[in-house]
Amino acid sequence: MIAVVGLVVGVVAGLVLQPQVPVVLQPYLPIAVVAALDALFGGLRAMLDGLFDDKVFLVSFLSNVVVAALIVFLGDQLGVGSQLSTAVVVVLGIRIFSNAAAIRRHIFKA
Amino acid sequence: MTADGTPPQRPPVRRGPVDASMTLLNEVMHRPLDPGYAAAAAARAADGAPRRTRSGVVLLVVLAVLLGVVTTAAAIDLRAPRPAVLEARATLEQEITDRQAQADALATRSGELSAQIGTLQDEALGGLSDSVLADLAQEGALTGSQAVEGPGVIVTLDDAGGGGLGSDDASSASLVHDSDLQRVVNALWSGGAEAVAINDQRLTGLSAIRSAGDAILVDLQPLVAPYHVEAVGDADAMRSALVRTGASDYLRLLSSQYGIESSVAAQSRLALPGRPTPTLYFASVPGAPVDSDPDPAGSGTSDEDTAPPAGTDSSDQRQESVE
Repeated sequence: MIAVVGLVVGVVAGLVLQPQVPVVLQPYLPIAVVAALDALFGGLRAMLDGLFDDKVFLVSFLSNVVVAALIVFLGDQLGVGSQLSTAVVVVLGIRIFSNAAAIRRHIFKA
Repeated sequence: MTADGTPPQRPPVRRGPVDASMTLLNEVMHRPLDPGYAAAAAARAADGAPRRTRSGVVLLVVLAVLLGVVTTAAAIDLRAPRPAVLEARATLEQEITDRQAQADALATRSGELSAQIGTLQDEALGGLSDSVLADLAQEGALTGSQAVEGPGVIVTLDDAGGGGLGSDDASSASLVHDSDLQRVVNALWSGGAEAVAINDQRLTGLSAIRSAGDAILVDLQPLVAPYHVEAVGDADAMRSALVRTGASDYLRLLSSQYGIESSVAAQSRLALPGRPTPTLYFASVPGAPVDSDPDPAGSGTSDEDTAPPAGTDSSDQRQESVE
């Protein structure tokens, strides 16, 4: 639970401080945000499943963001950046949908 | 994305109809929850309550705050419009406005100067006989260098769908084309029009009605719908010429097929602006300035040598071709 509190504090700090993102990193932002969303939904589902774990949540969050950005970076270097971005978005999108469905089942029992 | 290499402790909750050989799809569809959660839960169950060192907690909090800040910053950055794009756009807009103002100023100046030229010409030719001056005015009206007024007709064409620029459904077929205007103008000339202007752009023997993209240019000046073709001359003759040359049928076809509305109306008084005298490309004046031919030899489109003597109505003069 401490991880969630820390995350909320970080979000508020980000909203207040509005830090500048280096231009170099800008191409990787969309994918990184989608990966973060995936981790968020995964954590929420785990919480509802009673399996939540701070460490696993944060590590999966961090690795999701880093790996997604890395894949896009590699794709850019290989000339297939947009295709790899699509692949990542498709996979993460399916996961987000499945997790959202599980969360829905938990909440609405339907 | 598995955070660690531990094998999944919890088997997939349900086996779907997906074929067992399609492991990738099975993995994605039926086990979206990170297996690390299950592993951690199993470890907790085995070891009892988890023990956390103080430094571990601090690390977790720092990491969480950091991730929150980074994600928020990324999201904010993605939502903000790109300043470079905006800047380039503003620069281009500014440039367009500046150039347009510049062109307008130059056009005004050009108009002033040609008015000055006209005054000076009248002064210089003041001693000559009235017939020569009348000739000059007549030919000025024919070449389009003089502003004229008189009775005539207005043919109005408008793009289908109001002609709003940028509306998506305005396909090319529903717009007025340069050839449509050419057809109308040629019919008016053949009906004895003495002066024609489209949206206050006077047509001369050297004028061109062209298109660039979806825009219609008259002498490189872009026009905006609706298009008013104003022609000074014998209204009845011009209206019958519209019918005789098939332009009326053509306009009806445009209306029924493409929704391009048009109208022909007689006017008791029309005022058409003049256009600065064109540069003479080939003709030069060897001696007296009086005998110069105001029509440049390069145009070859007006048969002014058949013009009747000055002073009579010149409604039967033709300027057949406006390309």
